[in-house]
Amino acid sequence: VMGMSVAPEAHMTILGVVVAYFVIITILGVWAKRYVKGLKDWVIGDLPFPLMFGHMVATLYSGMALIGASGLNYRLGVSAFAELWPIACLLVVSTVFAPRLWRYARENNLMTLPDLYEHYFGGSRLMRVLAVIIVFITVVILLVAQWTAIGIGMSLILGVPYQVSVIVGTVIVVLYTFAGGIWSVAITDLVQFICFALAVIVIAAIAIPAFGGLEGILSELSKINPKLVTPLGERPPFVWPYIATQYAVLFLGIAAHPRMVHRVYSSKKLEYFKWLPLAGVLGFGIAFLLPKYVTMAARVAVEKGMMPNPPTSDWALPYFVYYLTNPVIAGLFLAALFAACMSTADTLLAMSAPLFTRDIYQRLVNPNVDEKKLLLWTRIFTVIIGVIAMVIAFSPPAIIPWIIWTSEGLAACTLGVSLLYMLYARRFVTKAGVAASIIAGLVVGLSFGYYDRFVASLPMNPFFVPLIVSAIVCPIVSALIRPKKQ
Amino acid sequence: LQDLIIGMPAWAFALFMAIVILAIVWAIAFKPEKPKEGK
Repeated sequence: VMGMSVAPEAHMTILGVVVAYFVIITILGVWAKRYVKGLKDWVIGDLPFPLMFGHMVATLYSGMALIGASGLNYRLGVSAFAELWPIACLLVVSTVFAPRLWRYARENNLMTLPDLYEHYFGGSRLMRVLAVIIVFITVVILLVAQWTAIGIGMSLILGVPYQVSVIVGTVIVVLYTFAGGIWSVAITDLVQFICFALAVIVIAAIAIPAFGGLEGILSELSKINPKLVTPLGERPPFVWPYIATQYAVLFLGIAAHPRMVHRVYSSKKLEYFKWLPLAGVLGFGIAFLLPKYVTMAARVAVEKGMMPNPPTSDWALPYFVYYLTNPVIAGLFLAALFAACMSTADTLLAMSAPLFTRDIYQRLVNPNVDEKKLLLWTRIFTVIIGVIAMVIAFSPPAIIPWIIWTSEGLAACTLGVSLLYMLYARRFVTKAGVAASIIAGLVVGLSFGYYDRFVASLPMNPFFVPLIVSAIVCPIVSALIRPKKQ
Repeated sequence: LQDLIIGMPAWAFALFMAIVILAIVWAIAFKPEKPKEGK
């Protein structure tokens, strides 16, 4: 335990480990170019199980969300253990969505989410355009948020200027995504996950006994505030109406989020989904649960004056690691954490570029475009979108936190509902029904989301009612407007 | 594991165990069908 400030040598060690990590991951990412022969390899790959697993986990939880989730335990204590939904979501994805979605995609040679909507409704351009709009809202804008997160993280912890951090993050991510597309993304994801998990295990194994074990931590917490150790919190998000609706919305929102759908496509074999939930519980469970215990120790450490108060609860874990653990471990952890932010950014980038080249240009403008040219343009668009997002992230608009938080909710009440109907109730849905349900979900979802955030907070997850509306609209409109002949 | 149980509220731990059990059941029960040849 070092005290309130980190020695300069320790700081340099941490910085050195982070830089070395970035260099290695960039080389590895660019090396993965060898797996890319055509556009399909770049967009969906055909990933073996370990890469699928690392990639799925990284997709499930961005770096920011990972520290945010553990930060909730810092702020609210044990009631924040209610937030187990990422692990539950992997189960829902693998059981409910993936098997049917994967088979449909393979049997019909699909590459993107708009491909699915177009193909399912007999080559409907309307459905493709609608899907492109939803992907744009839920994915492209989210990219800016990831750049912002990398910038804030590196400047806050490592003292690197914000804009420099954003530029460094952009250059690394754009470079390897350009080269290897989804292959680079998945390989770097797996490396990042392994480093993060190892660092977290070491940190927890040292930190928890140092604070008198869990019982010691809990008794200290109850001295700070007895509510920190009560099983259910007294305010959202950990009161039961909130928890219940949260699970409903996130199950659909994460499972049907465009980035998750793409991950399902990229699996090499259907068999992988058999083991994915169990692997998720074992691997991700550790990396996700252990930090929650560490931040509760961090709360005690702050109370005892062993480390400074983090600016927000989100930074409890990085602060604890930076101030109170061995510099090499801290460097590995922080590098993996920044890499986790980047790994969300690269996934979004690898999906945004084909949106313009495959989904809009090839499918709506020029179907006869040469495949090699299309791959080249997809790569060029990776650079263009990456740089635009970087420039926006230099002075991020105030709406960004709202967008991050809206993305999954909107995905639930647009894509989540319609995909569930399309995969499980084919005879009851028509093009008009699904289109109406997506539009209703989008409009009602934006209204409720706006109201909850800027007018008055609702007593539940704001996207729950829009989800129900969307789920009712789909079969009703489908029944009313039937095509003349199927 | 003992320590994990101490830190977690009982209902959250029950939920976690339910997920683990469902994941095991799925791994045992899931029989993937081969896709038809795509074009």
